[in-house]
This record gives sequence, structure tokens and C-alpha cells, in this order.
Amino acid sequence: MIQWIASIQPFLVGALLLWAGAVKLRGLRAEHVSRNALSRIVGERYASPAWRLIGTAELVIAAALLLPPVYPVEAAAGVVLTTGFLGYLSYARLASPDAACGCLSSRLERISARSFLRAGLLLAMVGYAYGFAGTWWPEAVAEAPLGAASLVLAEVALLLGLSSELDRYWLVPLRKLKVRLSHPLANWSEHVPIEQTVNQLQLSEAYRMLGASISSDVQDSWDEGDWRIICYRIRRDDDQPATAVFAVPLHRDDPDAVRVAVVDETSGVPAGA
Amino acid sequence: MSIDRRRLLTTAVLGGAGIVGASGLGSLAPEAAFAAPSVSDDALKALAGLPDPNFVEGVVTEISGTQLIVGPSSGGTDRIYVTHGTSIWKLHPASFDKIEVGDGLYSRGLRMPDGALAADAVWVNIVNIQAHVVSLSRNAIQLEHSGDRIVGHVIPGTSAVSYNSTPAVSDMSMLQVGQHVQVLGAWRPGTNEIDIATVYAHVHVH
Repeated sequence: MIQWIASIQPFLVGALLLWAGAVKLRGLRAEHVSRNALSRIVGERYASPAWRLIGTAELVIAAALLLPPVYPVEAAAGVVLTTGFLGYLSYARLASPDAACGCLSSRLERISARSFLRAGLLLAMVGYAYGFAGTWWPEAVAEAPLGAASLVLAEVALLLGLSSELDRYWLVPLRKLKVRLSHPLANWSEHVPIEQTVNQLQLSEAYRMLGASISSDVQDSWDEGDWRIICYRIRRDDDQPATAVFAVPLHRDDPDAVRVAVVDETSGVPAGA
Repeated sequence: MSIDRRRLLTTAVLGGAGIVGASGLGSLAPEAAFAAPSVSDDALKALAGLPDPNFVEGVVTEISGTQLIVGPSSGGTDRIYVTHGTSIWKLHPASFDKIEVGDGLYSRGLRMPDGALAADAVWVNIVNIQAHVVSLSRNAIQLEHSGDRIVGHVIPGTSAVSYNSTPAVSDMSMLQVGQHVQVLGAWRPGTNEIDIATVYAHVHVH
């Protein structure tokens, strides 16, 4: 049993490395170079060649793991590679915490606990293969096809769950589905946001006339029947404090209907009244 | 603001002797009365290469009377006078007693001879972030801002959303997972949570 499970591992690790290597062979797009953790280590100039080089190494090891015959040295190379991954992740996390991992895709996903868990899982898988694998993986699959399929599916699910680069293929659609089914923000109120009233106010003739002398942001606002009252402090020529009181239609969009009064703060009476 | 004052101002704008409609403003000639700022332009100008003297940002370290002592991000401290004429924003227009020690703020006003800033406007804990929507729940929007998770609380009666640059509405149901948004809100100091004022989003209309 132990040997059987171990013999399947090279297939999984090999398939994953095949993918990772193929992605890396395409090189880095210019906008990703500066955000990739590798660039911080080898310099932006060499980031793309270094990425391709690592991709080539991954492809070579992937091919060795997937193709017969089975030598322990293949799994050993896998162990070295995945240990290197862990070292790279740790270094990148310390040296440039905001950089992207660039492990399975060039997408700008930051290095997180999931990145470490996945690299650790890979190391465990390939280490297990090094220790116990005896037969080539197709022979192990042929021994118990159903069991092999279940094992592969379970491990693929685990790796998928630990890959933030791939979230958009399963996690984001799942979240979208959940939102479509539950409509979490559908219970909105009839309340008119103040932002909407201010927007209408700013389009009004009344606001345009006083706009240049308004010195504050919205001081106070309250609703009065069909109107929303909004107050601003204004700075007058004679330096007397005054408040501009605007009445804006609350439930309809009609900037022309906006009214204004200027209230002299020293006497408390509307100026010019 | 007291109820009496609100009643006075309501009467001024909507009824009674002091009513001035927008069209009725002609005789008041507000252009003539208010067009020029009372403070000379020079006093309002910042000198090239120096910080704007009429602007303060920092964290409130002490509140005494109507004075705020602020430790600016640039070092040193600043004093801000808050008057009846000062507008205070803390998620929405708020009163002075809503400001707490530990709050971050931006303030604009005029520098007094004693070095303090007489504030025209104070914005408390205001943040403006670009993010994408990770998930939506009943009272919150989970956001991701360059790799950091931020919880955006939806405050009924306050939170609004502006779709495709149209006036804000309170109906947030068109927001989608994965969408890029700009969020204006009030930070809850010491947390990764904000209370949402306005979300700016682009949606495809079918």
C-alpha cells in the first residue's frame, strides 16, 4: 500500500511541474517583471531569463518523473527542486513581502501561507516517492485504477485549494454563485444617500453662485418633508461668519428647484432679508 | 446642531420672511457679495517646495476644549481650532464630540498668527482605496487591496454606490464578486475594517 501510493506521486508532481515549467517558458511580461519576487533576487534584467531557466529545469524533472524508467535520482532531483522552492518562498517573504510568487502563473498573487503549504505538500509528495516508490506510475495505476483515480483527485483538489493563482477558476465562480443565490445586499433601503443630494446640489444654479465662497464641507444635513437641507459655512467679504442653507429636492432630480438662503451668523437673520 | 438652530435654518430657506429662492437671489446679488474670497489669495497659497500651511494631516493625540492636538505623519505636532463654522466628516457630517483620540484626520483651514490652524473642514479617518471585491455578505463587502484583505462594512442609511459615475444610490445589489471598485469610507483605527461611505463601480448594463 505504502509503495503503491508512493508510486503514484511522481505522476502528480510531474504533471504539476509540467504546467509550472510550461508557464515559465513563456517568460515574464514586462508589467510583471517588477512585481515578481525573482526579480528582487536576480535583478529585473535577468528576471525573464532566470524564469525560463527554472522553467526548463522543472520541465526536465517533470519529464524524468513521468517517463520510464524509475530511478531514485529523479525523485531526489524533485526533492532538491521543491526544497529550493521553499527556500525561495522564505527568502522572498522576508526580502520583499509584497512581491508575487510567480510559482504556477505570472499572475500577481502575493506569497501567503497557502504558497508555503503547497510547496511543503509538494516536498512531502516527492520525498515520499523518493523513499518508497518502486514501480512506474502507470503500472501502479493499472493495479487499482479506481483507487488511483480517487487518490489523484483528492490530491489535485488539495493542491488546487492551496493555489491562490487558480482561485479565479473555482473560488471566484463559487462566490459569484453564492451571491446570485443569496442576494446579500438586496435589502436596500429607500434612504437617499447624502452623496446623491450633494451631487444634485452641485449641479444647481444656487450652488454655482455661492460655490466660490464656500469654505467648509457639509456642516449639517437633515430632511424636511420633500426637502433635504444642507448647510455650508461661507466666507464673506466683510469676514462676518455666515451659513449657506440649501434646500434640495429629496426624491426627485431637479437642480433648478434648489433653494438657498444665506444666514448671517452674528445676528442669526438671513442676510439681505 | 440643536433642533432650534435647524428650525431657524429650515425656516430661512423654506419659508417665512427670509426665504430666498435660487431665482430670487438676484436682488441679493451674491456674486457681488461673495464672489471674492475674504482672505487674500496670497494667504491661501502654498509656497513651492514647502508643505501647504493651510493643510494638516495626522493622528489626534489629545483633545482639549475645542482644540485638537495632532501628531502629523511628518513629525512634530500641530494644533487645530474647531469652531462652529468647521465642518466635520466622520463617515457623514458629524459633531465635534465624535472625534476621538487615535483618529486620523485631514484638515483644511487658515493658519492663525499663533501657529494653530483654524479649521474650515475636518475629515476624520477618511480613506479612498482602489480594491477588488472578494466576496459579498449581508452587512459587509470583503475587499482586497494589493494583497491585503479589507472588510468594508455596509452602513444602512449611509453607504451608497455610484454605478458608472451616475449619482449615488443606496442599492448595492449590482456589485459583483471580482469587480474592481473605488471605495471612499471611514477607517476604523487599528483594524483592517472600514465603514463604507461610497463605492464607485463600473457595471455592464445589458
